[in-house]
Amino acid sequence: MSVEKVTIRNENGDEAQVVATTVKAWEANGWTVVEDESKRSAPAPQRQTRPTSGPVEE
Amino acid sequence: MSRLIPNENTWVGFAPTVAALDAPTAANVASTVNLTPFLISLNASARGNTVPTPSFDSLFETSIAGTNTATFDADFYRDDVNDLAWETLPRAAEGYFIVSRFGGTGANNTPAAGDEVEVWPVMVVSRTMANMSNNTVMTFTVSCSVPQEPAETATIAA
Repeated sequence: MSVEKVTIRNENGDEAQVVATTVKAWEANGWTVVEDESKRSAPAPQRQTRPTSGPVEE
Repeated sequence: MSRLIPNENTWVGFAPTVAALDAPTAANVASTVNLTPFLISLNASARGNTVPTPSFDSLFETSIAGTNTATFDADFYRDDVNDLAWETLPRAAEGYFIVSRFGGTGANNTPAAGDEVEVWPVMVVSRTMANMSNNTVMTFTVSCSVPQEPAETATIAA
């Protein structure tokens, strides 16, 4: 059974891994959650543009 | 020198990280979760093992020093308004208990630079509610593994 952990950081730059459900307790003591770069959503795929040339159906 | 009880003397906090086991900083102490108001009992103890080395030439059974180990268990109150101890110590939580048995020189017995403390690295292996019974306050017990040798004579660094 795995437990989700997150990284937190305080104003001195100290970082630590804590159980995700404990974040509220740490935030009350001056810690903030560090965004996990690997979990950031991938950039949205570029929108396909319609060809500007070619036959146009009437 | 005087004999004392832990009430209004001992301070216990839980830190997610420390600069060094034998020299946590005052900043480490400042960013702990102070669990003192929830604490009922604490069993932080180290124990050494001996290895028997008897031999045929003597009736006296000799022994030599062997490995040593440590245990860490504590009892805390639940609280329906501020359940800080319960929320901070779920199973698999890792961190460092900073224990100032005689209290520190900071506000409310908080350890300050130069104060002697114990630092117990732990991982919570169980967080168990005590049996509920009539007219009894709700409490829970935390049992921890001790993955590193604790620092029993650490000093708070500036």
